[in-house]
Amino acid sequence: MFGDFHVFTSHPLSVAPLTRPSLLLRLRDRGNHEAWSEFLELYEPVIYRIAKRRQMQDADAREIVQEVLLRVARAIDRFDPDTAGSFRGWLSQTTRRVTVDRFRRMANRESAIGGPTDLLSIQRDPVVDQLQSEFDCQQRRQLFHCAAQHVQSMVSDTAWQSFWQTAVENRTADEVAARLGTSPGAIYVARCRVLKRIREFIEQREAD
Amino acid sequence: MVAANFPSPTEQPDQHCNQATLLQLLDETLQGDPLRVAESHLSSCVICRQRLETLVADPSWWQETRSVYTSHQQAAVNDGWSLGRPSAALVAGSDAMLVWLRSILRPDQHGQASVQHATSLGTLDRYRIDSIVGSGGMGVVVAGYDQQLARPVAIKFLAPHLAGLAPARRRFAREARAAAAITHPAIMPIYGVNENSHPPYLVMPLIGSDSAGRSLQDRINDEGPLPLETAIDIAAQIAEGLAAAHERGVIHRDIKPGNVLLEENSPRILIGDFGLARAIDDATVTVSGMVTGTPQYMSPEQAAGDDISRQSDLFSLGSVLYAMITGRPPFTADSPIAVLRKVIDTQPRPATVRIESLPAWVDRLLERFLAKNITERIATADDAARLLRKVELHLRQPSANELPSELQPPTSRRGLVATTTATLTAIALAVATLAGTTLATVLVTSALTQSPSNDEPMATQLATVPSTPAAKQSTRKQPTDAPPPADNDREPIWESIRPTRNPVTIAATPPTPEPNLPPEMLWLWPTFPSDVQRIHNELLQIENQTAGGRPAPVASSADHFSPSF
Repeated sequence: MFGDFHVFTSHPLSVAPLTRPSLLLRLRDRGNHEAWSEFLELYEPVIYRIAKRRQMQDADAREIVQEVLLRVARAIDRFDPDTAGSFRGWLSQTTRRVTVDRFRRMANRESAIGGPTDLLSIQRDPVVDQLQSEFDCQQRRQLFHCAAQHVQSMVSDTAWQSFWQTAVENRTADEVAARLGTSPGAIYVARCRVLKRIREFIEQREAD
Repeated sequence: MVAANFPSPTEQPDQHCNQATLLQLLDETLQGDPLRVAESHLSSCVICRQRLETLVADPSWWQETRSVYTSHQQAAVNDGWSLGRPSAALVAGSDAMLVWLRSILRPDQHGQASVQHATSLGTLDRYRIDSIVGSGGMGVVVAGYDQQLARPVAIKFLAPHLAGLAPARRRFAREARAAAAITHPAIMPIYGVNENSHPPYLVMPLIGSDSAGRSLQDRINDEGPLPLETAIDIAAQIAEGLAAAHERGVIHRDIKPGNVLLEENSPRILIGDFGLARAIDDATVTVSGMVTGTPQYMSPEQAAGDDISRQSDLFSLGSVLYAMITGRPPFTADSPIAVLRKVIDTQPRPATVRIESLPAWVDRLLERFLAKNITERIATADDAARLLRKVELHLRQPSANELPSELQPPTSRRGLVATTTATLTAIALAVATLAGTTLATVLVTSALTQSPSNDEPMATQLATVPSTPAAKQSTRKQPTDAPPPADNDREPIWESIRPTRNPVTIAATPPTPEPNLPPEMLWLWPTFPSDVQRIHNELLQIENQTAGGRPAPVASSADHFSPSF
């Protein structure tokens, strides 16, 4: 079940900074739409993917996302980072509980409406601890994804392409410079600027 | 850090960049010639490139970036999550969807009915497929025509990415069969299911096209609040449909105005997507990511992810009724998550606060459905249907049909003696107030039309009390347990002598009096206790004196529930 689990063995921030209370505080204000969108942008896909990795179908995975987020919404007033540990740790535990609950309920649902019941193996899953690292890993992936979206919308297309084609697609600066009609030096400058923004975005969100 | 601090102020292409220049490059503050010089140097100098890169992030960052973005592109294709938006392949009418649809259809045969339907996409079994109506996260809906039975149909396909999954197919089949087993006039019939086709599909009547009616949501959007009688009738039909389904052990789970279809030129309604709400999204629902469909009509237990029961449908029905009556759902907020929180732990604004002309029992009726605690909620769909039908009768013919006792104001249930006493006190006080004032007119009855000032305190009270049902209830019971001074307690008194609540206020400014009693009010007078009648007459006399003999208005339109709120 965890066969496709991809571990990032080491990155400079592998000791993830604990979730600082600022986003938490903002989330406690129900009307803070911005904080909630920020939160959802990051965590919805993370929870969804974790559910999907357990062979859930789309509708069930979406329901799990909803349930986790609701529990978060309900309990966030009471969440105390000093005693409960990191926000992310709490989220991943909630995800696990909701997932297990859901499988259990699918097994004995009242109506004809149901789902796969042959997946109860989740309850016997011996690698529960792995969920936390999986969660961290998924969260970081999603952070990168959000960062890409935000930064791409902030920089020129040439700058973005300079970054993407050299840093991600692994093309040489000379090749990309020729394609984009600029100098290799400009490509270097642009790609570094873009990564700087991406890094700043991620660190700022991670610090939240 | 080979060339950390070169002193030269103007750098030459062959000189390494100094640290400040590199930082300025990254900050985007270097401009003009120095920028060109630095770029040109970087075009050839490997050392400075590396310095610049390390300044941004150490090599493992660059590595991780590449690895994440490379794998992310792959994953986005695989896991179908496109950041809360429906995946591109599912957007209605998209080329991809048409291509997919065409691939499962047979091309039209010439010489058949298709001649008239040049737009037809092809046929599947005995159905001609004309167009894509919509698509959701889990399915695609097309408009078609049953060539054998010569009727228009809507066909729902399980989405291509799910059709290949055995559990999804099993679930689809099970839910379709459960839904097909329910036959009730208020429930959208299922004409047929083909679970062995690729992809599986089910066939239903085509409703919601231009010619064949629209959804309740459309109607509320177009017209705002519905007339009370219409709203009650629709709610009763939904309750009856639910009763039939619940009897078979099927819970709808997604009762909302978008799932209630109104027949054209007929009071009949049809509940759509019975038992299928989770198998296939309704075509009208935009998949908004986190929440499939709207959370505004969810029950608290559903919103909290707890077990769903038959009564969950009844809570949703209450929310639908509230939306019909007031024009908007009981729980609204900026974000879906905020809506869900409200569903779980706040009380909706009383409907009578939103629409002041509503009788007070409407709030009591809604409370029967919208109780957070399942034990306080109306117990079964049967009970709900009966209650709503009684209310409907009462609305049509108030004189012949009493308001169901559970909706009557708490005061009146305590007996006529207490009521009359309280009434007398109230009116005596009113008289006293009146005598001591030189206000031009006291229009007891003006309040019957407009009584915002009287409604507001209750709203405030409700909004500020703790939101637990118990706390709320105690707040509302207060007036009956210990009647406060008449000034604050006029409303229950008037409830007791009239079939519906009509709060009484002493108007500071005289509204234009209505000289004639509306005919539908005439029946009220004989039912007045004689004492009240006598005092009322005295009031009228006083009023006639102060107002210079103008005829007193004795009633208003408050009791016929105006359809145009």
